[in-house]
Amino acid sequence: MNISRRDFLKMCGASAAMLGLGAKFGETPLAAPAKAVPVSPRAGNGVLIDTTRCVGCKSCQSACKKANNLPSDEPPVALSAVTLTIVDFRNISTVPNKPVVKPVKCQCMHCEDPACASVCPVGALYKTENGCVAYDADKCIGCRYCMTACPFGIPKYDWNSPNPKINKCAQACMAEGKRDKPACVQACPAQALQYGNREELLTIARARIRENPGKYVNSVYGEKEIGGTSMLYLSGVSFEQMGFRTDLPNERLPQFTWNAMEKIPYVLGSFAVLLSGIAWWTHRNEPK
Amino acid sequence: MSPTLEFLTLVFIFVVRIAVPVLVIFGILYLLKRWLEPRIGGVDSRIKLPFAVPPVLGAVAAIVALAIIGVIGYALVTNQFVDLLLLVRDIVVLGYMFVLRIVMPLVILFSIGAWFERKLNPDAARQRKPLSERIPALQRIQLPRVSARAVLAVLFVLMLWSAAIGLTISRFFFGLGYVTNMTDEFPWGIWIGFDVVSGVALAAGGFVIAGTVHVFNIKRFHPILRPAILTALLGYLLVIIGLMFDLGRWYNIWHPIFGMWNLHSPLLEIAWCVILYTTVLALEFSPIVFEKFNLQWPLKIIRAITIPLVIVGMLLSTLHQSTLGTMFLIFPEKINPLWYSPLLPVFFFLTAVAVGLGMTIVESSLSSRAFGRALESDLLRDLGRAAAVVLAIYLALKVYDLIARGATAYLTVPGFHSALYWIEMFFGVLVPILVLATRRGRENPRRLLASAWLIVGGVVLNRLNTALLGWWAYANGGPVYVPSWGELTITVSLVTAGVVAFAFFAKFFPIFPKEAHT
Repeated sequence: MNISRRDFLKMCGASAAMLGLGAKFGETPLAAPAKAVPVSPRAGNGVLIDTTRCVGCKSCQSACKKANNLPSDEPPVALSAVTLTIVDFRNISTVPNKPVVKPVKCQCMHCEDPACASVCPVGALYKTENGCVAYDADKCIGCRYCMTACPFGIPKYDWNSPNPKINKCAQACMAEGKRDKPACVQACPAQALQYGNREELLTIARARIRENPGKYVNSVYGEKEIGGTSMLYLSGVSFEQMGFRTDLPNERLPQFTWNAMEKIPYVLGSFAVLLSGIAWWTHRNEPK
Repeated sequence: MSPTLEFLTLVFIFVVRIAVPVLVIFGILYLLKRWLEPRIGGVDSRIKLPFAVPPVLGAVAAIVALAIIGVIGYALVTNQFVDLLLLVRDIVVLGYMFVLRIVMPLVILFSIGAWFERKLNPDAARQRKPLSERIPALQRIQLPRVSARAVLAVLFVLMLWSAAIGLTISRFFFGLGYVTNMTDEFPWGIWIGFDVVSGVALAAGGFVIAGTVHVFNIKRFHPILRPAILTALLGYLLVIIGLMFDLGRWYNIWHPIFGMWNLHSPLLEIAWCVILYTTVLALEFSPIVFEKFNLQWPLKIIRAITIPLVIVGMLLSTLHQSTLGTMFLIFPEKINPLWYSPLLPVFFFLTAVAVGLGMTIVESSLSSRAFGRALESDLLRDLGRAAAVVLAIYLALKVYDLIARGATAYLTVPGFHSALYWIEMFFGVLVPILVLATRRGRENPRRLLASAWLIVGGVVLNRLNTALLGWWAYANGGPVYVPSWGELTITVSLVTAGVVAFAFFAKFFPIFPKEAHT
């Protein structure tokens, strides 16, 4: 069978239109009913970090190193493969050349819907029932998608190892019932860290804001950001001033990829029917 | 007993009970043979091995191979592969160092010596027999007569590849940090941006042309089908090799296939599609091998399932070409809004079709020049026209998307990102559309090839922009990722390996239609 160029172009047009249809399909009511990403186990535990109470003693930092058997010969300057939590001294001054330094404890935020776990192809990262985002190195293939996906830049990599791992706080210090709360929380002498159920911590945080007018800004960092995190922060000045990422959306990040992923069955189905139909149509006059 | 100790014991047992006895038996057999040979006389001279291989030996070799595979498999499943790697690391590094520090300097010294001899004592040098007469084996190698430029190119590629060997050893035995410039802030570099993300797009010609011929049943495109399938197959194999370089725990690459699934990950879907589609491509390519070796019954089977196979290939391609775009949807706050769009999967699919057509034009033009074949100008012209149509749809959708998202303001922000965007859209999309939309542009082979190259360049730039250069850090003046020489060497080596493999198959397998050979 001979097809003219006109027919060829028509078919090109038809397939392009079908592509548009495939993309459109997901938006029709057929697919609409709340095809959200299945929500990870909620109501897990978290840590409330009150930056107004923090004295910057770095006890949490050394306790974390000790509990995870990480080398501590050099004073760490940032989160790294061997520093899973750090007290970062941030300049919160609004006047140039007059720095006002405020300590902020940084570590994995243990998101409620972690982007890292949602993109990991082999499920090496996963949200546990007690609220922690854990890591199973035996599954990991080292694609580093989690590192790019994390909005806080938390997962760090063993760049100089033939057997590299992803390094981040996975609350390994609490594994096998060694502790009932993370080592950093245990070590804090200033009651700046509090471990417990995330919902209860939120209530406590709101109570502190209510009972101490003027001491806190009226928001809890981690309550809504990217669908919420298990690590919650209280601050005396605005979080933007404290150097937190305030440009994050409140939607859960896994939803962004899922919006496209959920359309796969429709695209696959419509394309399969379309291509089979075209193949049948173009070959219909051929002898078997 | 610890797993490592258990494993070492296994290796020890393997060495003592299998490897050493096999070697001893080999040695005894060899000595026996040498002792017997002069006494029996008239040993078949056709056999080039020191002694004929008895069937028993074949069986032993098979057992040894199985044992090695067993050890590697055991190490992989029990997560001890790295121990195995570290066991051979010293030997490999020593071997490489031996070549680098002893063999190569000796070769250089000898060459300098020979040069001096020829200068200082030309008569003695002339009297000596040429190398090919002293080593008869060299006479069997027949090199084609080629231009000086080709010799230089071959030398350059060999140099590149020998550098790549050292880099490969560093990367796999010591870690990514020894070769690449990637950091915790830039965990993805050119190996993902070019080798994998661009590589998959550049290999899209396979499904586009296969669909044109077998699904749309436009038979006249058949002459360019086989080269397109070969390009795609080689492309996907290179993508997998490139991915092996990039994956930190590359020995776990089988995990996404065997049961460790996170169904929400776009990467899982890509892994499956790439594996399955490479299989489909190998099957689509297999008739060429069957024809070469004249195997009739597999040929019949493959021909019977061609159309379903091509449809499956097109479905898999549609899925993973678009899902490569989905991959970047998880970074709404990291990629410049010029590129970040919920429509990324659609854009990636459309550009994959366009660049598949573009690559087919490039590959046909280059191989017609290289192998002195007639150019299928009328076919390429139509491919160019189809590419213009696809790119026009893409451009319209891009413009609509920018306006709908309210991101047009970013177009006029002077800086790195807007410059990249304008270059990509102007040279990679607009110019090819304008050239290919006119009859004059399409029918001039040079313009056609130039616009095909522009499409290829534009799509590669688009992938690099999305995966790498469009990230916010590039606009914020912080430290940014620039690929290291090592990364570039590996990438260029992979590309040249693909070209060499294409030339090999083009020379020895029925890739091009017979009547076109001149």
